[in-house]
Amino acid sequence: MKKLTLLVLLSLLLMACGNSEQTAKQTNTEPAESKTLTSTDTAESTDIDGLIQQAEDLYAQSLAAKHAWTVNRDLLKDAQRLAQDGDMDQAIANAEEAIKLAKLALIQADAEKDLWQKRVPQ
Amino acid sequence: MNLTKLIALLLVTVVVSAAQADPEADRLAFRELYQQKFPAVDLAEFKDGVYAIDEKMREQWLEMEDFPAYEIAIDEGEELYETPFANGKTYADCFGDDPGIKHNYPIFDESVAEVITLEVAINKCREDNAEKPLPWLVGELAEISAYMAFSTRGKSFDIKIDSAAAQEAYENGKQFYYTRRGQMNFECRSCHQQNVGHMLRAEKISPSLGHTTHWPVYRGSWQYVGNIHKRFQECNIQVRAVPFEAQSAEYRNLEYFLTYMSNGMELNGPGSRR
Repeated sequence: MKKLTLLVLLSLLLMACGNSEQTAKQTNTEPAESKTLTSTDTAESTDIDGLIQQAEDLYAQSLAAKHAWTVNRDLLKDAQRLAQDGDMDQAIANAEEAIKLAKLALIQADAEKDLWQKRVPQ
Repeated sequence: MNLTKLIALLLVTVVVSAAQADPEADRLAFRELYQQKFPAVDLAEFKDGVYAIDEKMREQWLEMEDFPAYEIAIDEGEELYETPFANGKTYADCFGDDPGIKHNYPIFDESVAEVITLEVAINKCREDNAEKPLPWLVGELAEISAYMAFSTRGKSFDIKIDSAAAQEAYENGKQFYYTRRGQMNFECRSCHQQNVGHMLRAEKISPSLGHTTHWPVYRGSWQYVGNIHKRFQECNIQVRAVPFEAQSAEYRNLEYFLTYMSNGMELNGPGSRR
């Protein structure tokens, strides 16, 4: 009888361990899911980092050409701030607009190298 | 020298002359433009800026001139001008006994191959006498400049362009004036030649002829006396261009060009503007 009681207790203990292992497995799955989400965030963050870097480079070129635009500078600052705050959609929109404006400023700088001469009163 | 060499030399001379602009021809064409736009305004009146081309604004301005807001700046500038440096010397040791020398500035200093504005000269005087330079745009430097401008009243601009390097600085200033910049895609000319006399919101746009005669200026929007480079910066910002530093080569060259355009005109600074 004692042997039987010990056997039952051992079985219950093993079952309990099995359940606890299963629960532990489920608990581990949750961080695995959130890790997948973080990877997506990182990908977005990498995208915006690349866009901001491109916008910064083009803005620096317009500054070097002495044709930088204030609106471009402001958009770039906003894009940096929005990215830090986690508003990726707006940050991307601002960075893309900053890139577009910097390209226009560079076109202006290039065109004006000669065009100004035609405006001097004769 | 044989004939072929002589002809080659002549051709080179002609080509070089054609490539180089003549500042005096520029100045006359500049004046002509405003004379055509405002035939009823005497050339000498352009020293009064926008008040030369609008009778009602002129009346208001003349009333303001009875008790001008820049008067305190002149008094304080005079005191600063006459206060000896720590070494016992004064500004007079740099500029001579007569502080009325603004009509000669900007000058082109051949030794450093740069345009030197009056403000740069004042700070150079300080540094030569072991004093710290003053901030460019407002405050004590603008007050000293206001006193020197007041002492220069009645004299006429006599700006010199005596070398190829000076001419290059002048050309750079001219290029700046006629170059479109900022998101608005404006040149200085867009407002001050093409739209001169038109309204920009509540303000009438001033002519560039005589632009440099009356600085520094007490502006109502500033509530203090400031230098012309502060106004250059504001103009750039208004067309959404990133402005240059005060007393940068760009703005000094622009001031050199603009002042040459007003050569021969009487100085009447400091001024007051709305």
